[in-house]
Formats: sequence, C-alpha cells, structure tokens
Amino acid sequence: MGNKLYDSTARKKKETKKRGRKKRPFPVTGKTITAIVFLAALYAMLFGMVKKQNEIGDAFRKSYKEAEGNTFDKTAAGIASAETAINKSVVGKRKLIDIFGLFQVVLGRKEVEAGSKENYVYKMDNGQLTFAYPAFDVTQAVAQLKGLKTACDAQGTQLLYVQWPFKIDKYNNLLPHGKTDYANQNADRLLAGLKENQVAALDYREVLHERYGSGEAYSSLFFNTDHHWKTETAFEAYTDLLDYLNKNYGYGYDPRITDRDNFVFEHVEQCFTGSQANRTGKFYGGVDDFTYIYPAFETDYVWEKYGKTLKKLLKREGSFNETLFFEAVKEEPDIAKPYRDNCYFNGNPALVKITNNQVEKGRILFVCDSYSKPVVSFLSLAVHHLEFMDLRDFTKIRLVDYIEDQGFDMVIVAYNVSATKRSTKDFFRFGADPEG
Amino acid sequence: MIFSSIVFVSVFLPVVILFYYAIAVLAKNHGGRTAQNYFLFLASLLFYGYGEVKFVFVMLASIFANWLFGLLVEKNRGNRKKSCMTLFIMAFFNFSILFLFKYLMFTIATANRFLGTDLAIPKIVLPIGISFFTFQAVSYVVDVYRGHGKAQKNPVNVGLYIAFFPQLIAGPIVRYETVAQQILFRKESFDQFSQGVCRFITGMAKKMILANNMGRLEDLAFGTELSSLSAGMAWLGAFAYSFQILFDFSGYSDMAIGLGKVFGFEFLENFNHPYISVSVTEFWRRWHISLGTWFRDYLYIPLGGSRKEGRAGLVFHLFIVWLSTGLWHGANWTFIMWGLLYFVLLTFEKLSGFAQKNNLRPLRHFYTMFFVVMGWVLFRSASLGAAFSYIKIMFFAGSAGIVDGDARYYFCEYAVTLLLCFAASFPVRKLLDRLFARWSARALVWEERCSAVWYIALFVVSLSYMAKSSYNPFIYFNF
Repeated sequence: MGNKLYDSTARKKKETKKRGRKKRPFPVTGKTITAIVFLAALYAMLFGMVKKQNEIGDAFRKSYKEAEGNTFDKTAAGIASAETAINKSVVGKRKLIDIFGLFQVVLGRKEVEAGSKENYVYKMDNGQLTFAYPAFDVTQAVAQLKGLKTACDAQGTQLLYVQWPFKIDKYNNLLPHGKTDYANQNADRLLAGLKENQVAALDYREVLHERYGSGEAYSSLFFNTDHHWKTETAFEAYTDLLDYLNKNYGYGYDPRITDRDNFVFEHVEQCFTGSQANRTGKFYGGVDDFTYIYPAFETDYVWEKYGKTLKKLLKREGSFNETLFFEAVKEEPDIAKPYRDNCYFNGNPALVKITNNQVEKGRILFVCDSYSKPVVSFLSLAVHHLEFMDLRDFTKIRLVDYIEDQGFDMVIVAYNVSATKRSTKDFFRFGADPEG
Repeated sequence: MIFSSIVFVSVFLPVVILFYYAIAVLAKNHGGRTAQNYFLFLASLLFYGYGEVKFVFVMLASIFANWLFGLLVEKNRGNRKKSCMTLFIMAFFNFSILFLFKYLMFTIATANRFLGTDLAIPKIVLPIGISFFTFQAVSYVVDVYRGHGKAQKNPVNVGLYIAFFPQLIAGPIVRYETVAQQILFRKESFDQFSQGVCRFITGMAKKMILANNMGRLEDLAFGTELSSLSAGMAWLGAFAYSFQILFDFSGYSDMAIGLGKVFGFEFLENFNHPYISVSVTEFWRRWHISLGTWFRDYLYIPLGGSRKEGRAGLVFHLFIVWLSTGLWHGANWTFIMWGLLYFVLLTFEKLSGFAQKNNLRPLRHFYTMFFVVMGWVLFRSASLGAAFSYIKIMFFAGSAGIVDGDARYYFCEYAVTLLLCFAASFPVRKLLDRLFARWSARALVWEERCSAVWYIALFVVSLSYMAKSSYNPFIYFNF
C-alpha cells in the first residue's frame, strides 16, 4: 500500500515535472540560434588555436628571448609575436578572406586593403587586380645605375637595364574611378636618366605595345589575380631577350632552345589564385589558369639556392625539372591554390646559382625580383652559369664587390621601378653610394 | 586587448566563458558566485595587462585605495565631517592619478607656452581606459556615501566593478548604484546570454564594417596636406569621421553591454541613435549617455544644477561641466574648445527654451548636425590651428578646388558604405519590428527567428575583417 502510495506520488511529481518541462520548451528564437552558432564558432577557433599552441608558444618565447629591456618590455614583445602567430592560425582563414572579398563586392569597392594600411589592391575596369604606385624621384636610382655601369666597365662586364611591362598599360589606364598610377611615369623618367648617362636599356613595354596594342590582347598577357605576367608571356620575353642579346651583344644560341615545339606547355584551368587574389579572396579576384612550361628535351643542371647571408641552403643536380623546376607545386590541380608560380625556384630566393652543363659559354648575373623568375629559368637554357639575385634581400654586401669577386660577362638589372625607391645606402648599393 | 581582435574572439572570450560557467556548475553550492567574481577579476586583469603589463599595478592601486575609501565612508556614515573628508581625499587621490598620467604633460607644455617657463616635459604614457576606470572608482565611493549601494567588504568585488573587462577600456561608465546588487546577486540565463551574444555581434559589426571603413576614409582626408585638400574631400572626411566615431564608440558600447549580459550583468544603454536628434540637448541625451549622466549626477547637480543662483549660476555650472567634459576626452586645446562649443550651444538652448520647442524639425535637425559635425572636426584635428584651417577649407576658403579627383574617387569608392552608415544611424530594427508587429504577431515571431541569419552573417563578415587583419584602429588612447 505504502509503496503504491509512494509510487503514485512519485509518478505524479514526475508527470508534473514533465508537464512543467513541456510548458517551458527551449526557446527557439533568432537570438538563441545565434548564440549557439556563435559558441560553436568560438570553440572551433579555440580548438584550432590549441592545435597550433606550439607555434604560438614558440613565437612568444623567441621574441621574449630576443627582445631587449626589462621583463615588461620582453613580455610585451613576446605577446606581440604570439598575437601575430594567433592571427595566422585562425581556423578557416582562407575561407574568411574569401568572404571578406565577397563583402567588398557587395560594398562596390574597387580598392581593397592588401595587408597594411598603405598597400591596396585595385580592381581595374577589365576586372583584373593590380597594385598602383605613387610618383617618386628616380634621381638616386639613376645615379646608382650609372655607378654600376662605371664599375662594370672597369671589369669589362656588360650592363643592361631591362624594363619589364606593368599590368597597368602605359597607354590605357584602366584603374577605377580615374585613379592614376605612376609606375610607367617613374619608369619613363628612369629610362630617360639611363639614356642620358649612356646606360644600355631595353624597354620591353614598347615591344609588347607594338605587338599587342592596348586592349584586351595586352591585358591577356598578365594573370588576372597576380601582379606577374603569365608564364607564356615570360616565355615570349625570354625568346625576345635572347634575340636582343644576340643582335646587340653577339650572344649566339642554339635556336632550338627558343622553339615552342621543343617545350611542354602544360595548361591547367582554374588552379591559381595569385598573390593579389590571395589578399582579397577568390570571390573578389577570381581564379586564374596556369601554364607550366618546361623543356621537352634533355637537360643537365646544377642548381644552388643561397640565403641572405650567402649561406648555401639547397643544391640540386639533374634535369631542368629535377633542379630549378619544382614538380610538387603542380599537385592537386583541381584546387585553386596560391603560389603555383613557385614552380620556378620554389619561392623567392635571395640568390640562385644555375649551372647548365650542356652550354659552355656565358656568365650572367640577373639582378631582379620575382617577376623575372620564369624568364631567368628559361634563359638558363642558353647560359653556362646564370645567377639570380634579389638585391632587396642583401643589405650588407655591395653589388660591385660581388661582381668583382665572381666575374661576369654580363649583368642584367630588371626591377619594378618602385623597388628602386629604396635606392638609398641600404639598397642598390651599386657603387655610387657615397658611403660605399 | 581589444574586442575586435582574433586573440579576443578566438582565445580570451571562449576560455573565459568556459571557465566562468564551469565554476558556476562545479562550485554551485560552495561559494560559486564569489569564485566566479574572483575569476572574472583575474580575467579582467589579464585583459588589461595584455597590452601593457605595468599599468595593471596602477589600476590595482586605484582599486585597493577606493575599496578602503568605500569602507571608510560607510564606517563614518553617521559622521558627516569624517565622511566628507574621506570623500575629499578620495577625489584628490583619484583625480591626482588622472592628472599625473593624463594632464601633467599638457599643463607643463601650456605653462611653457603661455607663462614663458622652460620646464622639462616628462614623457608619460597614458594607461588605456584610465578616464573610464577613474570615473567608475569615484562613482563607487560617492554612491556608497549617498547610500545608493553598500560598500563591498571584499576588495575583489570592488576590483570586479572597476576593472570588469567588458567596460574597462572604452566604457560605458557604469555607475555603482546600477550594478551594486548584480555583483553578488546577478542571475544568468541562456536567454540573457543569447541577447548578449547578439548585442556583441551588432557592436562588432558596427566597429569592423562601418567604423573601420569610415576610419580609413577620414584618415585620408585629415591626413592630406591642407594645401592640396579640396572642399569636397574635406566634407567627405568630416562626414566619415562623424560616422566613424559614432559606430566605433557605440559599437564598443554594444560589445560591452553584450558581454555584460553574457556574464549576467545588465549595463545601462550608452547610445541611442544620437544623429536623429533635433537639438544639441537631445543629442547629448542620446550620445555617450553614461558620461553625460555621470557629469550630471556627480558634478552638475552637486554644483547646484539649474536650481541655484539663477541664470548666472546655471551658465557657470554648465561651463564647468562642459569644460570638464572636453578635458575628459583628452589633454588638448581641441578637446577643450570642443567642450566649450557644446557649452555655448547648450546654454543657448537652455536659456532660449529651444530644446522644448517642437516646430521646424528638419531645420532643427540640420542645425544640430551642422554643429555636431563641426565639433567632430575640432575633436579630430591635431591642433586648433589645423581644425580652423580644415573648417575654412570646408567652406571653400583656401581649398584646392571644390571637388577634385580624390573627392570623386573616394566618394565613388565609399558610396555604399556611406549609405549603410546613414541607414544605420536610424533605429532601423525598431522600425522593422513595428512594421512586422502591425502586419501580424506571427510575422514578428518569424522576423525574430530569421534575425539569426542576419546576426550570423554580421558575425562572419566581421570575423572576415579580423582574419584579413584589415585597418582596425583603437581611437580611445586619449580617453
């Protein structure tokens, strides 16, 4: 009896409790749904950070150790580095940047921040992304190149300045809302200064303009999503450069190495998000096709990569595709990836030395930035010893000393003129540096 | 640390929420609330120390001293003389610290300039949020003195009130009487938590999407050399800054109020669509409400407000309040002049009865916004000279043309964002709610449910701006 009574009371309590629960169901409101999604996102991000704790911790410890000052200063330095590592470790960062780009489309933005308050990526009227450059004084750069010529003349070394084309056509400004870019004007002033000082120069902008005009054909020479030219254009520039060297410097070469039929043009569609789309997201910038170009004939190379302190980092021996071409970059062709253009040199090295064992003549130093990587790669087919040097990485050595030490037949300089803005005591130390 | 950063959203906040509610569950019957308060206080110190470790000690000293002042005031409640003396010492202590960090350099520079002295100006770094936490500390002791809240026996509770991270670096200035009960007896619920999350997201979106975009535009205008600034660009910059400061500041307040709710606190509103005001008086009832009410309750009314000494007294009290308001925002003549501009406008409105009139609303709105925008130019400029030159250019005196290429370019570039800012200046959500409610109750329920899509979209877009590490200034260093 007692038990029955207890059971009935307990049941009633249970039912009341159940009824009570039924009366107050979980409130499915917009706010509660938001809160659940918000919490899920927060903890997913936290989980991502926990997975990267070693990198974040290392960043803190490294900066703490290296920082000068008292404990507070060291801690502040450590925190700053850890925060940078945290920012890099956000779960789904790539997707978030794509969403960022999509939102810029919604906002109708034609310029998008590219990493810092000063750097912007612009969407041109033809839909291509580009950087724009301010006007600046090129006097110092001209003086530095003149000094370099004097030093090269003393060594019996030829000097050639090459002005590669900009994505923004000199004759057709496609920047949004009438924005002005000064890269071409800067280059014009630099070339005029070089001419005045009898420094040999090739203005490749004019070669392309003559061949392609200023419309769509010109635009198609460049990636939509990257500041570089397409590898096909670089190949064309390589053949033109060799032709120019032959005509002007008597640099003979085997014509088979410029014949397109002797090369593999491996075209992959929609696989490349260039460095500009990488900054703005693929929904803003789109995706590019990419063509891997490499020789179909036998080659024999020694390829060495050096760091900023001239320390040898890597040595490869074998064919073109086993040395300066990095096959791994071609992996996952169905996925749009940045840095496909790293198939040549696998990054932007400070110094690369290429020895082509099948060619006996030629020692050329190419002082340039990443824009010239594919050209230098192809040019190595015609030169016994070719070096690629990005002077921006070297602040301690003087170029003239290096040329004197190594001895070259020819030095080719090919920079985006904006880089020469840095032609101070730390950059382009060609020999005209008063402190030099 | 700032709310609109990856480190806050992906590390600090989830960890703090996790531990806070874990403590609630694990120590439910063993002083859970005290443990939660200890934890929140420690988290707040970490939040503050993240940017500059050494200033944690300044804040701890302020907390400890004001805890003692609170106890002393309560102990001497029957003894008016002793209580007043304690209050006086408290005010002297708090405002001395504020003066030392915030105004000493300005005072010496001003003395050197106007008195011809040659005193060395020390380099003093301003602790972030010092004006906010000093005003809260003063509020604590004064409210205990007034009997609007009991003195906390435990210094950690005072610490939590003063240093609670949601309102620590950019407000709102929470008066003690409004949260005294909540420190020990608040009650969290998922509903309140959800409201807090939505409010936090709203604030984050205001900051990341509207304020930061406008910040870039106003930076361009105010950063242009005056000789090459066109009138069009100057106006664009002035509007952009007006929007930036509104959405930055109200965004931070939304985030603070939202985070307060997440931890069970209810803070009073700080902004209420100030740009719809039709008088300057109304503007200040809607703009930075917590500062306005602080000055009203702790300065204007104790001075006598509008009741004592007739019109002359009213004008004098307004002068003191608006001089102080200007100075509170920063140690610079631009802030003082900005405060005095409002002194003039509010005195005019009070004496003429302008604020009470209800006619010619568009004209009154134009008048209000005209002076608000001019005020922001003064507020934003580096010096009085720069401010007046900028204003001159706005009115075509010495401008590089009326509308130049830059003005056209940036207007086209930011047109949609400006439009969004304009729309967001109005109480759109309230209008929508009213519209749906008029339609049907069911529609209102569905509108609320669908708001999840809106909030989640805002959150993801804001997060994308953070992940992009886009321009994200912190504009309260002067405060």
